[in-house]
Amino acid sequence: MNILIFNCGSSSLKYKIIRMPDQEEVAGGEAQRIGPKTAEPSRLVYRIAGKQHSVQVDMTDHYEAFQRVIEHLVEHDLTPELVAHRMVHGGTLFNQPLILTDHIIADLETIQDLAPIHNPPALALIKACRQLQPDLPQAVVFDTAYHATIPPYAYTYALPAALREKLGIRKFGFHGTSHWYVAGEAARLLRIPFDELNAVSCHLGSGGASLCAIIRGKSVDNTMGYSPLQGLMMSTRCGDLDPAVVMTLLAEHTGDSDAVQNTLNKKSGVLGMSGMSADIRDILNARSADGDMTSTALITSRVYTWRIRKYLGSYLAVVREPHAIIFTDTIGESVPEVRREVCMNLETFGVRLDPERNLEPAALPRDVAAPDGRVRIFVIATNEELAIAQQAYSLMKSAA
Amino acid sequence: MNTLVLIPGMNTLKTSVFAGDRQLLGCSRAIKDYRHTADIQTTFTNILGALGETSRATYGIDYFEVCAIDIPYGGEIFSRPVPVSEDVLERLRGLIDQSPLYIPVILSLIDACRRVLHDSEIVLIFETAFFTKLPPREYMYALPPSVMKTLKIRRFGYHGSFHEAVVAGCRYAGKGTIKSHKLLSVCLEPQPEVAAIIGVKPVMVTSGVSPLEGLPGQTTCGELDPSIVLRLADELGWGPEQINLTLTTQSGLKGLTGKNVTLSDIFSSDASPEYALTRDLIRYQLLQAAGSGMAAMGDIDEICFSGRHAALGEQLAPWLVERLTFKGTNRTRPISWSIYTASHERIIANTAHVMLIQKKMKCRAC
Repeated sequence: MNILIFNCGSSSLKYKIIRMPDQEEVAGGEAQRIGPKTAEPSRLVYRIAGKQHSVQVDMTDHYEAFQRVIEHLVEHDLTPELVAHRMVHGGTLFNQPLILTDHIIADLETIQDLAPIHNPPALALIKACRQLQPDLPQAVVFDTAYHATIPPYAYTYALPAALREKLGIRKFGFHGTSHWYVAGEAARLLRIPFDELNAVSCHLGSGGASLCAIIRGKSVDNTMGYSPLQGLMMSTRCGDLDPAVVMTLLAEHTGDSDAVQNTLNKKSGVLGMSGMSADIRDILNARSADGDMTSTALITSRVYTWRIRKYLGSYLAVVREPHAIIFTDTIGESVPEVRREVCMNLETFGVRLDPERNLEPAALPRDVAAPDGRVRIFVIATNEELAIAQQAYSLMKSAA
Repeated sequence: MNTLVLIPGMNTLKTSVFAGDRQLLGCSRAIKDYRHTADIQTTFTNILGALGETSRATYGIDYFEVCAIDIPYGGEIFSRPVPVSEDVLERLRGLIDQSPLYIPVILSLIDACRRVLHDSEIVLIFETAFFTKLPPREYMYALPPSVMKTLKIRRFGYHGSFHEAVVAGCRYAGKGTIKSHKLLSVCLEPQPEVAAIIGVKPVMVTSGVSPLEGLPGQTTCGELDPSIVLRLADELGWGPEQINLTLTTQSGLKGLTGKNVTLSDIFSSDASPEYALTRDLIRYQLLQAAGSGMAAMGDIDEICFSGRHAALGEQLAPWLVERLTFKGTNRTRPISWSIYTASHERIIANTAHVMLIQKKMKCRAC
């Protein structure tokens, strides 16, 4: 079965075709610059049979983008039998993947505001699919769904109950699809059933980042919270911040919460601290004339890794008998310095990184723990699209 | 040495008198709503006058050698206790914009003390002083430097006097060498705080720029997704004052239970089943803080509980120690734990005494 997976942004549309159950990626691409005219025209960039192509094509909205993508796939005999959508936020309404119906689509309308940048374009795409290909089944997989098992004492904020209920305030957690996927891979490497795995998964991306505490295969906590702003220091997000600071910033901006939101989401984190780049790799490579790391780069990198390390310690205590720590996504997979700084001197948790293995540029997945360390330290490439395909395929099989 | 201790809180001014080591209970007061007055100078003058009279009449104390004032915030300027001087007062005034609710009141209190207690050495003890030694990776937030500098944003702890007293207690008990002892100090005051301390230096603390960050308190929210504050402003149209009121006086244990309860109420053996979620939440966040502290230090030698609810350590410590003891490690000794029972007032009095003794010794050396 060819499953077409969509990962929808506000002005872009990434897609992959994965053939199941073989789990083979047969095509992929991205519709770029969807929407109002920009300096460059809209474009479809795609790869088929290992070759990359690019074609200029008008796409004023996601309806047109979907049309163009389907037309081009049909041209290449890659008609999908199922479409699976990634949706960032399912709220408390959606805690598992679903085959879409009119009723579910109506419910999705009610949670658009939970992720105002990500959810609306994904819903627009779903509607476009329904209109243009009404007989093509669609599924939706939520980033938050894996964290539906976070217990109340971990998801509850210490705010008045009436306020929490009125505004639906609780911790949701994000990157669930990725954490679920790499946890599954870790269980496979350990040769244990998924529902016996205890682990801490570290999804360290070039954009967002989060840790997930996993007990018996289930998420029990995530460093992101009500929104993706909480938790770790990220590329442009501040992560954890004293509420008093937010109030001070609001007062400084005379109540303009959009301005404060912009500062905390887009101008903080690695970019905000370093003033030079949002990518921690650039910071780790920043050198002054004498060859040493610049002082700004040094403190930025230290704050970045220190926060991950403290959260790792807290989640190892929560998980209690971890089988593994998992590093994944761009930074987790490709930056050994970050893994070293986070994991060094944690023998008291049973964690021992092997410095040489950690530096080896070997293929993934691999284990960079010292052989006599009790806790394995896996570096596993995440594959959210494959994870979505797996869940959607499983849904279709159950429905059949 | 006769010592007057003054602890001005947000709403309550606590006063205590010590004759040497002995606390004179007849002089212990908790004066509520002391700030709600048209003339705070007169209020302070009257309070001090009444204390003086009681001390004289009940205990025959004519004067206090030292008056120790506990101050919640000293910024980066005050890294140790100091005797009052014009220079100190000038530096304190420089902190008004950083702590506009506290510092003016403190200045009024100091002024009253200087006028009424002519013969007393007035000593200021800052709860943040211990945390001026935090390393930058711990005290900095992931914000643009210009924002941090303009708004003077950095992390402090707010129970430094407790943590320092616990460290001194460990030193006195001869626990490990000074430089290497890895202590997790759990201060269970109405606003709890956990600090990880190696030797005499803090390396991690749960509080933040304000005591609002970290563990939930009796009425304070603790850790919170920053976007929740913005949602309150957007959705409910609340300004910073309204948000602050909710997060500092209506949240925490009160927000979770709907009642004015303390940590001891939550954990008491006959606590209501209604408190189960709150109890689990507090225990969970303590566990997380302990795990963070252990990662920050690379290990834990000892956990010490202090504060008003320190006795809860009897319940919490064995559970924490079990959760923090991992199999397959080369740990040779179990994590020890202890309870530091001295009250806040006694800690402040002792800190003032030590400071004065050191000052006298310095003078003799000169």
